[in-house]
Amino acid sequence: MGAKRILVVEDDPAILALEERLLRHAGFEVRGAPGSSEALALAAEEEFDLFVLDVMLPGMSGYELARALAARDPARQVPLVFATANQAADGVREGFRTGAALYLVKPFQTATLLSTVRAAMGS
Amino acid sequence: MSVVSPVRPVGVLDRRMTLRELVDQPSLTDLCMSFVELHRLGVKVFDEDGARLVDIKTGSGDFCAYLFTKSPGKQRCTETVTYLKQHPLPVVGNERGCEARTCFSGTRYVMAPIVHEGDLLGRVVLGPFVPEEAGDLSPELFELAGAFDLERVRELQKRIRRASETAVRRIAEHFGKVLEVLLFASYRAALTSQMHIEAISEDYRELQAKSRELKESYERLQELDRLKSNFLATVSHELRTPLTSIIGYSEMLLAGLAGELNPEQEDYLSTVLEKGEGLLNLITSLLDLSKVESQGVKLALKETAVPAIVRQSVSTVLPLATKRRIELSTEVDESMPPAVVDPDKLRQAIVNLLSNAVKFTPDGGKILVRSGLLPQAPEGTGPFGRASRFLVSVQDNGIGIAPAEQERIFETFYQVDSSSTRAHGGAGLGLSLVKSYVEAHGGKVWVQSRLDEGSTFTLDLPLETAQPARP
Ligand SMILES: Nc1ncnc2c1ncn2[C@@H]1O[C@H](COP(=O)(O)OP(=O)(O)OP(=O)(O)O)[C@@H](O)[C@H]1O
Ligand SMILES: [Mg+2]
Repeated sequence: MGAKRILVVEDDPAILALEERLLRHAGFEVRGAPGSSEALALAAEEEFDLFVLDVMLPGMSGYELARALAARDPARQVPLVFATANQAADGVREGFRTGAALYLVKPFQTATLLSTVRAAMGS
Repeated sequence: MSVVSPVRPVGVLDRRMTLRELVDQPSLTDLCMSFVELHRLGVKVFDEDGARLVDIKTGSGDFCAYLFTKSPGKQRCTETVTYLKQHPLPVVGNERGCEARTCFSGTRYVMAPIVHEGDLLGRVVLGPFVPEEAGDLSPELFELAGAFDLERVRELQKRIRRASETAVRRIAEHFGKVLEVLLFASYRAALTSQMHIEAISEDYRELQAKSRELKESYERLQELDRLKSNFLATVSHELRTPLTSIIGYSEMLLAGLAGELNPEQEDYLSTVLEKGEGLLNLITSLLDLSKVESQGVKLALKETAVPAIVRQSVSTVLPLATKRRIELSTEVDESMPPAVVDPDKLRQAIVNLLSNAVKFTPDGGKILVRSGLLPQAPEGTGPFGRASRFLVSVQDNGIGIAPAEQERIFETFYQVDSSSTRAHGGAGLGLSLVKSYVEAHGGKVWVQSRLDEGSTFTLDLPLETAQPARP
């Protein structure tokens, strides 16, 4: 079995690069997208084992993107991690309503990013 | 520009007053009483809508009551009363005049209009009386012989005055005249009091306008408050985003992901990381505090294993304590029952105490965290002798706090020594959050401390925090 494939969607380029780098270093195969349209395009071409989605994306929110991704292939439930810099708890609940497996608060410690991702994939 | 004309209610002089408003009820009753006594006739007064103002009976009470006991009587009696109350009085010339009405029982009433300044205000009804010309019982009563004991009816009817209708009509006219005088006097009194009422209503309208203004400005304030908390949420988000990179890249470099670092580089990066984390804590506390201030503490109560919360809190500060060679030990009562608390708030309260202990204890110092049920405090004992409170305490052998400062440190932004603040960082928010969180649970926090010897902060919380009533 090959490496698990993760799609990371994050509009802040520095954070996107950071997440890609850390996840790749941990042995995952990672694709990064700076916005939802790129994410949907990538998801149309490849299959992923996990989506890591920023909540505050320009245009479509991370929650909406999650719904759009799920609608493409309803049979396959891809686990989700929502990353957000919003400390308010309301966002957390909305994340769970869309069926998000886990929730990552930015800034995160590198160890937390990895443990959250692993927990979401159930390994 | 449009002109808004204020809507005013109809004033005293523009409006017809009702009989009830016009007459002074006790004087009217007195007047009627004297008529009843003088003429041995019952008197009823109704206003124009048929509402009864006066009803005085004499002699007829038992008679009517007896006929009312059986349904044929009851029904016919009600018909009579309805007629007396409501049936339009005859027009005589261009005024209303008197009318007589005979009840099924054979007794009779005379109705007379009550007029004031040309307005028909109501009617007076005199009776019942037994018409002078009447023989034995009325034919209708004989028809109902099956339902009533006619002997008894005869007995009761004897108590009712016999009179000629002409006499009663005269009495009614006389009554009307006297009443007119009474109305004239009352009218002036009523006018004055009505004007008072209008003056008061005017004040009331002003008050209403004022309270509407107040409500509007309150709503504006609420809107501002909402904007403020939105603003804080946005600012917090905008600050946390760059911090994610500052902290993340520093960690990544320190972890050697971009190659080996020499000790000096490592040292510099550690400083960047530490300051970044300090900034993050500050932002987090500020937002928490503004939330507490704008909406109070909202608790998400859950059955919670306190020992687990204590362990998680300890592990949060463990890296820092280790770095400072501070010995961090725990004495946790693992057997204590679960508590109903907000686990996140409890964890944050303990973490805040622990980070203070680490901050204000010199390298190589000692910190001890204890948790368990409150030992046999009589007022802390539940109905079956079970303790109903638990304690979490954080003890250090650090710099201590002078007695004069021990209250003030729980205030927002208060710090004992600004120079020590320089050395230690922080903004003086930690303890005020601890206090808010603990008090929201119905608990308390206090400190015991000696300068240069150390401090013990203790949280005292109910095992079961009551769910706040939903508004
Ligand atoms: N364990 C302790 N030993 C000595 N002094 C303490 C201790 N805990 C708190 N203090 C004093 O109380 C003050 C207020 O504490 P508080 O936690 O509210 O703020 P802070 O730690 O200075 O900043 P922040 O918590 O916002 O980072 C501290 O600045 C310090 O002077
Ligand atoms: Mg503090």
